[in-house]
Amino acid sequence: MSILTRSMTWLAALSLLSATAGCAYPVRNEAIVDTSRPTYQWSTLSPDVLPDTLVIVTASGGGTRATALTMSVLRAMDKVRLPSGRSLADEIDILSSVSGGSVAAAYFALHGSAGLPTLEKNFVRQDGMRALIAQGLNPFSLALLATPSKERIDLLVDYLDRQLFNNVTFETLAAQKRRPYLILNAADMVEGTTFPFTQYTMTLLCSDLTTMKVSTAVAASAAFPVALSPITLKNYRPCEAVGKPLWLKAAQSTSWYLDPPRVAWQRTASAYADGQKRFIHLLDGGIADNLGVSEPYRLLTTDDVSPNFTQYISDGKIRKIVFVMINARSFAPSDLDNSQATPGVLSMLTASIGSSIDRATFSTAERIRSLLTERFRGMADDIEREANRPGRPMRDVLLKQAANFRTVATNTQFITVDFDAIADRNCRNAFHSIQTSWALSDNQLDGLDAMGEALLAQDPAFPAAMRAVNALPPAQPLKTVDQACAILRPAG
Amino acid sequence: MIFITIIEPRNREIYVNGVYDNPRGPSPTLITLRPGSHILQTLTPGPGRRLVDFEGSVDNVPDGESQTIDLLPVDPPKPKDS
Repeated sequence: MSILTRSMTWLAALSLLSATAGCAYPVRNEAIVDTSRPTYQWSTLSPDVLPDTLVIVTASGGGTRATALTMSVLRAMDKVRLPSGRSLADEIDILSSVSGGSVAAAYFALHGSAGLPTLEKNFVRQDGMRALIAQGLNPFSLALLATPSKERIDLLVDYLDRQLFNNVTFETLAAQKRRPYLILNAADMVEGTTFPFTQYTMTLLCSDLTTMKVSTAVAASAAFPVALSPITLKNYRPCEAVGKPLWLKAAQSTSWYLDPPRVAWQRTASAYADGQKRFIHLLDGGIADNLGVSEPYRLLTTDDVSPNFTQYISDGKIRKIVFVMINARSFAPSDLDNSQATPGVLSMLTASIGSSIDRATFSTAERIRSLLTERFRGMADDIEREANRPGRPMRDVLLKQAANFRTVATNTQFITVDFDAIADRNCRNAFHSIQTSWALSDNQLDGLDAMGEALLAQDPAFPAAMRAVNALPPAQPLKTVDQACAILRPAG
Repeated sequence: MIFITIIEPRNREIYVNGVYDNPRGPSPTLITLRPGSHILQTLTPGPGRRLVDFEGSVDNVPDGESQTIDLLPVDPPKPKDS
């Protein structure tokens, strides 16, 4: 067959596929039809055995580097056993993640610690880049990609389903009724804001989270700009099934000067709920918050959505917080600073995306640290001041609330798993230099598997966190940073 | 923070900003909230479909201030998401 004939055959096949596809874009989310169906939300999940201890884990982006680091931390938390016979990993209440961290977070939410070996075998140790490229260059995929019905992001969705998620939807998570409450975070590429895949966000679009594939949300969370196309959600507003959330009305009448974050979120949320935005294009969550801490932060500070942790603290239902922030940020060395030559288009593109993600990472990390270490104490002071106002009615109620906030401020352990905490410069550089990719070498993966555990154990807040949950002494000592460094160095 | 005291109706659970799985109270009660505007409601007793039967709001309350309010009856009671 001549090249011309072959080309004509392909062209005909493409035309046929385009015609049969009806040029329809994929529909990723469905409308809310039946409001009596179970939904995936915090209030429907069973409490764990440490009801007064809120355990939050956030997992950053960073490709397989982030997946592997998150997996290592979850494994280490599973080694921490409690008197109940469960592990610290079993007690995670909230698991909020971005991009590569979302792969591990979603699989852990579905299968718990028992699923970690499969996560490692079927995803972390696989050459995802080769699989994605092979899939993308497959003639059938190429033909489909030429039609609107298949987008570049579908290569990742399909790969995630093949290797891990098997087309399960959030309905499976809802049916399990167990924590952790999974929050996968993407970013609205127009608003530049975090888009958490929670039912209360989806309700703004009159859309049912339980019918959405978990792989779709993970892929949206990891849709690195340019390399992958966005995941596009349909906004089903206006709709009859559910009204607009009441908090929008309250927030709309709030002055920006009184609560800028609330008003900013209300403006985006109103654009969804008013149906102004007919489609929401979602990219890698790292654009808005590469640590996945924005949503836990909102849950710890808002009066507008459930779970309302501020209220739980005020009531004395939460008395301790263990917050583990996993940051797999890379800092690859660049030769750009040593050359007068004008950087190329690709270098500029990579730098502009990468630096904005790093800036967002730094500011959100500081925000959550300040909330956990200072804000709760400040709230206790404010309430106490009000209680001590002469003639104040219900003084006892206020003093109790103040005491509850102070208890949490004293009993909050903030643990950071971050390569920046590696003291040895060469080792730090070696881990920072692990590329952002879906394919890493076995040596890199072995290093990450040790380093997550080691950085968790090294954090000064770790012993206090262990005391807070009455952890039993570990059967084997957790790995040290020196041990983890020794693993990566030979190949690093 | 702002400090909102709700007196009437008595002995009822109070819901804030449409968060219906975490009631405050019973009234009279004192609720601490972020500065700004908030909507407070009570619901008719269950089981079955619960409706909003009392409602009130505070508007743009600045940080550190306190207010005392009574919720007013909603007649007829209305659905939660209306």
